Amino acid sequence: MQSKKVTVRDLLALKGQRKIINSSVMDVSMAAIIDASDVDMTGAGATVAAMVIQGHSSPIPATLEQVLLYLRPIACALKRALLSATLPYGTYQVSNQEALRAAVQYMQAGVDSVKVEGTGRVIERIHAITSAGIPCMGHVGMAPQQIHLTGGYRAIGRTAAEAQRVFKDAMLLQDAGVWMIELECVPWRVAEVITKRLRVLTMGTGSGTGCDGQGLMTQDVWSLPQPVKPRLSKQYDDLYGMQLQAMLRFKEAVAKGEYPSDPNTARISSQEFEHFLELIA
Amino acid sequence: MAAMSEKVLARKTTLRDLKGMKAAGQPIAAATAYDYASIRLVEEAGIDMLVPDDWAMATTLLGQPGAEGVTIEHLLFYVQALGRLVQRAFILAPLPFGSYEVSDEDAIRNAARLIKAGADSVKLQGAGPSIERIRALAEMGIPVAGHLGYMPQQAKRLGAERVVGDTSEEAAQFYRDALALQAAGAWGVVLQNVPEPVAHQVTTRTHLITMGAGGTRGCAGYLVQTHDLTGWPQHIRPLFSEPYADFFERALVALNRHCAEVQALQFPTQEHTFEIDAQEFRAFLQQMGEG
Repeated sequence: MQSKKVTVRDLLALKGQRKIINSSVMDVSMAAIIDASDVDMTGAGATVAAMVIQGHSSPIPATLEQVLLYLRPIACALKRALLSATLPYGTYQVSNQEALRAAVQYMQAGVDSVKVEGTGRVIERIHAITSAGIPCMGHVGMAPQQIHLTGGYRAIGRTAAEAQRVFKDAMLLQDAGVWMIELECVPWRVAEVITKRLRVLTMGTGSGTGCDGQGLMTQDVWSLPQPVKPRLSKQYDDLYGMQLQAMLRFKEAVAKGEYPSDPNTARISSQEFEHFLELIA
Repeated sequence: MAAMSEKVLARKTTLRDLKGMKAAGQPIAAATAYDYASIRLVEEAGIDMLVPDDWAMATTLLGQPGAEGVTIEHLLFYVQALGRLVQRAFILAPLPFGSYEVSDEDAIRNAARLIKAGADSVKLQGAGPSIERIRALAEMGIPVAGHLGYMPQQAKRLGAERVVGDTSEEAAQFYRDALALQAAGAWGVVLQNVPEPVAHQVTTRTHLITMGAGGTRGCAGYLVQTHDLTGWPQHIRPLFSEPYADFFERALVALNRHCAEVQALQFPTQEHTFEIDAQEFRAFLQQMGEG
């Protein structure tokens, strides 16, 4: 783990060397834990704002203003891990100019790379962003912002035709100048073949060990509840259970009149207190 | 983890319930929460009141040195989450620094925005001109609570977090402020870092629902900072910190175990991904010229 800020260049140099680890970030407290860990890069943006914070069932409701509000402090706080942030739904579809404007606002907020979901004409928008010198990530396979099109969260690329489309989209994204492509819920054999064919990095979520990097929601690692139950994740500790025990103990202490505990309280001398009673009599 | 609705009685706690609890001598438990997971946590624990506290927001979510930089937009973003997700607890939202000082109109406008986003009541800090703001809000039928003792929004004047009311003069001023707050129409008051016997006078001699924060005892209820209670990293620790768990330590261990498993190709396993039919895969390879 390096102590200085991780850059896109540092991560590109890791291709074929070791796996790149990506996990999500929600606020400055979580950023402190991520910075202290072995995680290389951290993701935020539309999904975190809409789902992890506000509890919606998809990232679609998040607005640019909302995301910028919680993203700026995180960008300021992160001293090591690279911050990549997904542009919210509605900020990149209309025109190249709008997409670029939103990406510029992200960069001004302090993110290290923007990320855009989608293929087709969205790739033009991505090209406009990378042409302006802004690091950009792409996303193929299952795209949470396209959930209404895919009909729920499901694997993409289980037929030869669909797998071929995922591969072609990844190549187009590479040509459009992205430095990393997330492969979400792509069958592992397909993800492995695509990763080998690309010069740029791949980040797998639900796509096996063949990708250059691995992405996971930090909430999943800690068993913190999310509005949509994760299926492909792994829980490494039950920190929700630990927190619940602490919260129940607090509630019990309050009920018994034992909170805050006696030595941990504000005090007044009996002399001052007597004088106070005289003053308010 | 069972769904919230299965575990928690889905009836909102009202101001009337809180008053009933004070009358019955049943202490009120309050905690901070901002996001889906922490809202689930405090709801499942049966906490009576949720407070998206502005100072705690500054030190744990926003990484700011104090409450002054927290804006109404920050509050609205998190209060919207509470409004959407909370089924049981009473939501007490602070009016942030700068959102009520200038005029009664400002106070009413911003309080209304917080109520529309889902708050059950607002609170604001201080006495003096703040008493007028409380009166203006109460007269408009907007439930409002005060905040006395140490006031984080006035840290530039008060200095670093400390005990307030440990001298007879300061305690007497504090007591008079509490009476003025009650007369202006506040239903309650957060008392931060006030000595127990002094807080006890306000709790017993007024109708105010007193909520102790920091090192305050002798109140009708108590507010804990969830991040502090569960041991999350904090940019600045509260003066009276009482962690019941060490989230930071265990979270770091879990995250690093995940990293090690990924490097060792132990995660993800087959159960964390998808298969493609062998025939389809061969066809895919042929199309790519690898067949």
